[in-house]
Amino acid sequence: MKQKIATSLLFISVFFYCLPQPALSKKEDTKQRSSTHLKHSNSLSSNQFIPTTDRFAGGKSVVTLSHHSRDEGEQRYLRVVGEIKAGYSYPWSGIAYLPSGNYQKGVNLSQAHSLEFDAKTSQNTTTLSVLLFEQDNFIPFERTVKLTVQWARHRIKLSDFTNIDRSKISNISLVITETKGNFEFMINNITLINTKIIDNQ
Amino acid sequence: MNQILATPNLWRIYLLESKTETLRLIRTPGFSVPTILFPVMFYSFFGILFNMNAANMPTYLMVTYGVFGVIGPALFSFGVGIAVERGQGWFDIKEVSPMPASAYVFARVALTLSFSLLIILLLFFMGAVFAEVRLFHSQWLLIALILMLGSLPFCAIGMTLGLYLKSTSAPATVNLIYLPMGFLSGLWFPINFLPDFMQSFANLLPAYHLAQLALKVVDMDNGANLWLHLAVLLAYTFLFLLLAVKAYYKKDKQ
Repeated sequence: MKQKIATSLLFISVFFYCLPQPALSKKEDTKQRSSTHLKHSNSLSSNQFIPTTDRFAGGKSVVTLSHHSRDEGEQRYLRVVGEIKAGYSYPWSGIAYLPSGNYQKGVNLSQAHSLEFDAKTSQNTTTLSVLLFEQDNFIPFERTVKLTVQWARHRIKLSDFTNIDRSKISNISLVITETKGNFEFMINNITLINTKIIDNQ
Repeated sequence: MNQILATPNLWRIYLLESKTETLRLIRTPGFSVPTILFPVMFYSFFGILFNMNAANMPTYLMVTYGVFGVIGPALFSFGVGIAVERGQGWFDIKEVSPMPASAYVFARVALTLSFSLLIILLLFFMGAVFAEVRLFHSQWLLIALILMLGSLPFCAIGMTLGLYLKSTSAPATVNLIYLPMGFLSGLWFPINFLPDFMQSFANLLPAYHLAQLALKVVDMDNGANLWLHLAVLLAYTFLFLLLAVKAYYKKDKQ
């Protein structure tokens, strides 16, 4: 009996040891876009982004947006400061782009190849979630990128979002979701590459 | 002679009773198969196959179906088990046997914890392999520990039900408590999807507080104080233990 208990405990210990852990230092793809992509890009002005938080669903997270000059030059970036607070099962806080200008209405982004942006954070590392919402579906599809304290170009391939109908995208959100507490990130040059936006009638 | 009069080894009695109880239930597939497979099957459907690629949904549901899973053996092994044994007369035979009453309770708690552990391991396996759930070792272990210890208040609830209910009505009554409680506590899908009045009602349910306690480990709870959840679960445990003791002595007088 004692031997059986010892064997069971050993099995359980090995099982827990083998359970997978999150990757802490996953290298994100920050390749520079090619010149071909540049020919067909649709730059999004930071003014087109609106604040979004889980207050929309009854949560308590907050966010404020402000514009600042980048590298003392004319180019201006969007500074996103907020706090993820407990109060909703999936807390989020950040910015959202509504391609149709309406939460309910989707647009056809099936021609869009990727979403690119320059971003950095004031903290050591911050995980930024890129959420795509399909029309009439309030559950997003998600990809993440790791931000560092240096400006870096990030590219999210829209084809990586499997099981989503890209002919009716209603919302593209760039939000913090994982860690409760204060966050800050800066974002600039947000671009949809190789895009033809077709109104979904 | 000396051997007969020697004090029996209490732990040996506890272990033997636990072993025979476990064997009995393993040999009763009507109990063991649905108890183990229901939470795993539900998680496969809603957490893996139809999670709609939603962010963190597999992690959230792995925890909540874990809660759903550990409540099952606690309520059924105690609630239905005791009621059926009372109906068959086994309970009375065990009562007059030299076995201490504590061994009976210990065996059922051990049985509940064994089944709970098995369900948790299966859910963790499904989450890790098929739904890409990634947690730190400390989180995996803490969730498992919370879920296993969290089944104890439901053992107390089950024991009370088992002592009050008749063997014929026990399975239906336990199901009538188990399934709606799981639904209203946000164990099948996030509580925030329910209307406000239902969310307020969940505050009264022990399953909701156990789920919130476990979800705190992965930062997906609703933000209420840890001590509130613990206090509610302890209050339920003491209340139902008290009711169980009352029911036991009432039965004895009869």
